[in-house]
Amino acid sequence: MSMLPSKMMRSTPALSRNIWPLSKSNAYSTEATFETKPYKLHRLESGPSTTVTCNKEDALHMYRQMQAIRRLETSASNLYKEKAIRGFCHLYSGQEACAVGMRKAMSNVDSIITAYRAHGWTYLMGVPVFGVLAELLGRKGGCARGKGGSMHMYAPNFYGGNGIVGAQVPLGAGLGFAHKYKGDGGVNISLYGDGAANQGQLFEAYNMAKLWNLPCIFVCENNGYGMGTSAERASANVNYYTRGDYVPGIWVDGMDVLAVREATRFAKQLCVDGQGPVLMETATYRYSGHSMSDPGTSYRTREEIQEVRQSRDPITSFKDKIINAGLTTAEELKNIDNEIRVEVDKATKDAKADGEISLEELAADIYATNLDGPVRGLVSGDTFKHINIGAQVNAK
Amino acid sequence: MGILRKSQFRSLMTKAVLFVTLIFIQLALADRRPWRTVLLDRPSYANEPFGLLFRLPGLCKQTISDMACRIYRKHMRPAVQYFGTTSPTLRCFTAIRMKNAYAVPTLLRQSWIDSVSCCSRGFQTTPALDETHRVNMPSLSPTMTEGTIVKWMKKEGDAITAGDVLCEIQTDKAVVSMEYDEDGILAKILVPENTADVKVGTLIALTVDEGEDWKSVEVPADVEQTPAGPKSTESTSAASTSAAPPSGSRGSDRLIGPAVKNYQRKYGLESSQVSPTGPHGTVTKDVLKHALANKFEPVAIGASPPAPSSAAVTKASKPKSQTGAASYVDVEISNMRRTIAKRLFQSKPKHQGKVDISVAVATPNGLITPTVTNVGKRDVISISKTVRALAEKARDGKLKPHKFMGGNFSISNLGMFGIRCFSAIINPPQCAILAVGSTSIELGEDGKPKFVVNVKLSYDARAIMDDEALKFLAVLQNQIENVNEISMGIYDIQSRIESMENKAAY
Repeated sequence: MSMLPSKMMRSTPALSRNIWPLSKSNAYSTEATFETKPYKLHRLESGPSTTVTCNKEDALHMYRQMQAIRRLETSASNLYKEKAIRGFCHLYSGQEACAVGMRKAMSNVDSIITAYRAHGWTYLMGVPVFGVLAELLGRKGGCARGKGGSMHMYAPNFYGGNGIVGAQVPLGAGLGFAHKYKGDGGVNISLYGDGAANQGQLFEAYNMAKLWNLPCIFVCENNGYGMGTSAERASANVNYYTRGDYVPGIWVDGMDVLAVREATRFAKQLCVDGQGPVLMETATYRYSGHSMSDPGTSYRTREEIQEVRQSRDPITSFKDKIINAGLTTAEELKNIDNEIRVEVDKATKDAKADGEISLEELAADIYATNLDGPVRGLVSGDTFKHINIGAQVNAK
Repeated sequence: MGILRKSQFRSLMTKAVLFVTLIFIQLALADRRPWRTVLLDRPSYANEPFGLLFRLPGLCKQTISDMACRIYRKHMRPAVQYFGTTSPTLRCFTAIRMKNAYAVPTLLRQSWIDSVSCCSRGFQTTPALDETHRVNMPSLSPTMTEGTIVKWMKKEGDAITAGDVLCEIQTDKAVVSMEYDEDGILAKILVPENTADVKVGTLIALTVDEGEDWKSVEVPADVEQTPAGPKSTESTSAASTSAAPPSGSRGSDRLIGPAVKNYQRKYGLESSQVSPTGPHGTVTKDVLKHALANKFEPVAIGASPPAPSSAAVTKASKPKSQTGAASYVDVEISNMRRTIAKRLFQSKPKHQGKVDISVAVATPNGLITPTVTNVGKRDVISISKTVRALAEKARDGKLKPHKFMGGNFSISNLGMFGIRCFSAIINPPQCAILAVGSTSIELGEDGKPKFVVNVKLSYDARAIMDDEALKFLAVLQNQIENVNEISMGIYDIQSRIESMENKAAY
């Protein structure tokens, strides 16, 4: 280890990092057990297990999903720098483990709602990379036909894509209510950030959820910064998992995809058992700025970002883990990387070449079922015909 | 260890260590990467001190099998590329014919090195990747259209990790760092530092993936070479697609003779300010003379607007020529200043030699301002006739476009609509506008009724000084109050002003 210069060395010594499997049978094992960081609990006697298992198939699938999100976000940032994407573009690079871990623990009846940092979730909930990129570029191949961008991405059981800070949490409580009302056994996951954690409507949502025992998991993706304000400067209580007060809370290391998966499973079990809502705080980090117009270095140092990239990156640490456990080899993962890269590059090219929608769609898809007749335009007397073109996800 | 004797064990260990070192050296040399990255390419080796030993059998097996697979593929490729044939005999003949006796062994060595370097990459089964990645000039602010690369933070051949800063770019607002989101190696810098006006989207660099050969990266043929150096030179910005950056960059030495140095000192010129259009790209005395002649011609400063009255004499503006070059320092215009200047220039009032006055006419289609040209040379009657004719044409809609373009002063008269007093807005790029209100009857100081008319002058302070505007209004007032003198033909404005100044107490 003394041979390596300090710059190339990872910040934490290898033996103390969380990349070693607990058990390893041989070079071709199909399942491995890992130890996660301990969870912090609030109003809970027992928490999720710190010993997690993972089989090869799941590991590769999760790795693939995380890598795809990372590449998708990189591609979006390049497109933004080329001025092909305009407006807002909030990137998820660095927070992939939260999304992928939670998705792994979700079933097909569970619903999810998040804020504007939604590209990764849109991909995970079934929209292909082409759909996401075309939507950002404003082309007709996009999941909302290019009319919505980041704030209007929907997929089955995925409710967006919301622009107002914190507004999605009361909606999420409503979705939990729908699950309870329909009795489908599903659970709602509502995601918000540390910046939104101080919004009043969240506490109203907690109250209603606890009062009526709604199956909601409220997840605070704490990336340390609410736009440009660090969490310490914004919140009196930075332990966001305790902010629910009467709602039980769990703190999870958000850079460890297996820990997030385990915690989500545990929380989901609590909800399904009828014990009401759970609050989860995933401690994660975002590499880019708040959005593409924020360089991200005016409120934190570049060294800090690089340090997290070297020592806590979700993808590389998961990669190290599964290679050390013998679940896979570096070459196999490299192949996955290359496949993802090819796929995303192709999707980028196709999305750029796609066309925009025509003027007839100005008043299209406003309602699922239009009961009003023609849609009024800007000037009195101006009307547009309402048509339904796009797919109506989540309409039932 | 009970099976082997101590001496045997020692010799075996030595051989094992040597073998490992050999493989390690091969990997490092073959890939031509820094040796540290060779270790890190296999992360288990970086973290496990003894992992190399444990995985040694597997590595050897893998190396040999990889080499075997790769040797055939890689070995043949350069030969086929270079010679067009795989047959050794034909290759030798071709090499001799090409009088390049070193081609054959070089290629063979190259292919062997390539085959060894496969150890780190393994047998590729993935689809072909575009291994050279383009780095285009990013748009780092919403209004940015072009920028300057201030400094490259990485050199060619440097490894880039995701999140590293590639270069600092001066946008229209500030200096922003450009980050790179992927791992790789910076293969080629196509636009050197301090190149001004690089448009957003221009190719500025090429990167390759880790483990790839960055030296043999080809510049894509469709790239336009942006000229190097702060002042682009036509001679060096060729349309050639050569991989080398164009010569004549700022850093290169230029031969300057003593006569030229003398000239520079005398006129305070820098050789970098002048384009080297002399023979062999040098700066000669003729080049300097030419530069001086083009740079420092006399520039006419804008003059004050003349009074629009009939007897106006245009105040001749003395073109202030710039004195010798040594009396000022040319500050190079920064990007931000350039943008500000561009915006300002879009509305800058221009100075022309003559006076054209636009008269605002209300037509059913809207307000039109036909221009009465060269007012200074006309008399009252001619002006009156022209204005009437223009107004009629405007109302009929028969006005030709050139009749209402131009003009450096406007008059807007809303008095006929009963408006006592109003301010008009200057039509850029004109320098001022006079708003004439309606006439009213008021009680004078002497108890007699007097007619009062309200005029308001809006003027562009960039072209007209405050005192000039005041003087103009004073002259105008005087003229209108003493209309008899105009009709008698007293046109001397200068003496009028002087007499006024003597009379009034400013």
